[in-house]
Amino acid sequence: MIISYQGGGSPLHRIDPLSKLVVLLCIAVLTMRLHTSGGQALLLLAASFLARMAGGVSWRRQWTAMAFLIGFAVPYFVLTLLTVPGSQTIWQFGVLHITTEGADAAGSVTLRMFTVFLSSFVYMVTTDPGDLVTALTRRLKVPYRFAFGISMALTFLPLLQEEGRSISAAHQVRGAARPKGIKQRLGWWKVFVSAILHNAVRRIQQTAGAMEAKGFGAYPERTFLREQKPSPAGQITAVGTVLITAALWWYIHIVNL
Amino acid sequence: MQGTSIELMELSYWYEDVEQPALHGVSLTIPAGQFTAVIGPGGSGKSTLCQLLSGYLPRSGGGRREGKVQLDAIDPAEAPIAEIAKVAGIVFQDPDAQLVRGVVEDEAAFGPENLRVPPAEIESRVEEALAAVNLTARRRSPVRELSGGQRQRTAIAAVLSLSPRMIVFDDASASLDPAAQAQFVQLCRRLHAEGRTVVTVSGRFDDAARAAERVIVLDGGAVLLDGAPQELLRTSRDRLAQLGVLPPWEGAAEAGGPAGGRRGVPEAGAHAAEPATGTLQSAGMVTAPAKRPPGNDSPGGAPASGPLLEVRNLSYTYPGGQEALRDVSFAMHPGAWGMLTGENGSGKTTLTRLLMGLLPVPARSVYWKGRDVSGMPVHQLARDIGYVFQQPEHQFVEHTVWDELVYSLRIRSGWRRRQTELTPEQTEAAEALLAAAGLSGRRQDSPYLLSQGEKKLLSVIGQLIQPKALYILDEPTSGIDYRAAQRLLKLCRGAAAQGAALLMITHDPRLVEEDASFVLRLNHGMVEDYRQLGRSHELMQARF
Repeated sequence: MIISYQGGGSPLHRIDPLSKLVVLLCIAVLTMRLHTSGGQALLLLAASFLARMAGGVSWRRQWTAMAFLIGFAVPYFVLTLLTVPGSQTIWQFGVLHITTEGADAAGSVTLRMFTVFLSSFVYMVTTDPGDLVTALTRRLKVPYRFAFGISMALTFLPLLQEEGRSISAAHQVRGAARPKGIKQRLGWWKVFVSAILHNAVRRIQQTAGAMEAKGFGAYPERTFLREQKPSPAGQITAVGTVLITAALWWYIHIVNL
Repeated sequence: MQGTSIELMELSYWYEDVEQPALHGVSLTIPAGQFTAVIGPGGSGKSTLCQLLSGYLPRSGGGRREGKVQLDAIDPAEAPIAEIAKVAGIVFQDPDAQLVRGVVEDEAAFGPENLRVPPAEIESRVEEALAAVNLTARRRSPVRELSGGQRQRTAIAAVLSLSPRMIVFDDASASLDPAAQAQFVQLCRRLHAEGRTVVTVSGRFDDAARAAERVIVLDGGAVLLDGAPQELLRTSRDRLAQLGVLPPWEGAAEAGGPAGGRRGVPEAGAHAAEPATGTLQSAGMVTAPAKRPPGNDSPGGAPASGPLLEVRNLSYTYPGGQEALRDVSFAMHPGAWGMLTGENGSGKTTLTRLLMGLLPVPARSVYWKGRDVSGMPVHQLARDIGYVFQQPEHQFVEHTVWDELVYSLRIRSGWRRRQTELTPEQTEAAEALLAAAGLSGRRQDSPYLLSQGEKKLLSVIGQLIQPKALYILDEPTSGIDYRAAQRLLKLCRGAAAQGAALLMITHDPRLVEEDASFVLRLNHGMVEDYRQLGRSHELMQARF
């Protein structure tokens, strides 16, 4: 599974979900605050380094996850590159022209996208969905149905991935090869995506039925086997990150990064 | 015993857009605290009954219900969710449809948490439930890392922890290994001794049915027989055998019929129009037996001619670090029929998935006709190897039974073309297989609407439609009645008669041992036992 919780003992695994959520929000705030490609690149590097060192997520796995985004990021980059106005032209062909300002803006928004995705990805792979539900319900007093909804949403991508793998295996054991050429690929994706969605909906219905059969939603509150208490390390990390973010906010304003 | 646990009066049920009722006019009463087994062949309405008891039908699953259903005086179609969960817990056959949290412990805690049970009591219930299904050691394991049988045991634990007054097991022991099945029967006895109402549902007159106080036999959506198990076995053995709920080695043999073996079993064609073997032969699907070359299938043994499949010191560890196989070696020749046995989680499915290339095969570990299959694409192996999944639903790729059956025939240049016309020979062969599987009347139905036995048969004929050198079948007979199992084995014999080799994961060794040439038993990922069986010895003797 590429995007699903993986148990482990890294520092990020040991931090409670809410403290980690604070770190995630701080990173998101910084991506919004930074407005140059250089600043966004530094933040992405920092997030990637944090994922590797504190979360134990390998470089390869980070790359595999971020490769998902390339299909969206590249067109967005090109569009921004060609549409943001600027005064210093780098390249021109007919009506198309690229400016320094456009290149900076395109790099900035694209890198921001990668940083937000990477940090969310690291949060998902280092956070037990069950702990997240407990923390949201017990500490933030979020209604448990809503918290479970978030938890189920976190498991939806792995579910789609699993269904995709299963359907692909079903086709392959019957002799179907990977499609070649645009026409075959389009035909394959049509069949593949429709089968995945069909099966995913079936699985969701089954899961909803199974949850109901075990009394889910019967009462406004529920109990939890495990309490989710904030870890001292998590609290220190959260407070530290907020302070660093505030300092960077001020510094970014000074150096115009 | 006090009061009534289950009361059904003139219960009928119709699925949406289906004219024929799945259940019609069922009336019965199960007293509180009784241990009852409901058995019946595929399509007799057992699972429909369970879903009506759980309230899933018609509340969420739609359809039309007539008549009365009462569980401890509540109607599951209308009662509040909490009331139903406290009264009745139902374990279904497919564990994947019941597990919602992803970790064994969380699954067991989920129900009590919803019912606001205090954490300390949840803890003791979870411990007790996991101990009852022998999963204490896997308490923190992600469900996706468990075998099919272990997942089923998790589903059972998730219901046990609810501590309901009544527990219904809908073929919940089908994918369990023999030891776990024996433990399951013990569990039913214990729950019964605690005063709970226990209902087991199965396609077979299994050990749970023999241990029950009462057996209710369904057929065609109605109650056919009702009585104590020993009484039914004494008075209605022939009838039970005809239905296919008795194993072949019992059946008519002990009732004075032909002795033992296949002759004592209702043949696959006994209840539905089925083409004669000649028809299948002419369609190229079956050839006369006794043309099967014997194989030297010993692990690592030196064959007279090159093996089809050779496994050399195969070890495999999942990416999470869980070791699944260690130093497994064996070989298979054309015509060999291997039984792969072992407890749940012993590595059987992992082994077969590796053989099919569905998991990354370590280099120099698996050879197909002398060639290392490491890195070989699955579709390339699929030219020679047919693979039948444990859960037939995982294999389905089309929307109708007919399209599902002929899918492989429409593959051209490695890609399926929906409009590809079949040749008259292909159509004839497909028709013959459909008839042999008893599915001629279901060709336009969705594969998902078939009974479990029919689904298994469809998944098998979907592979047999294209002749292959080796067929790998993952628990093809689990969870289906003996009539469907015999039908399925007859199809396998047809393939074997053409010289194909078969490797079959099974928890039903007695069903297959007459046909098998060797048995390979795994234990904790290692070969625990290898034995050649009678058929290969007879063939070897005939050869020399």
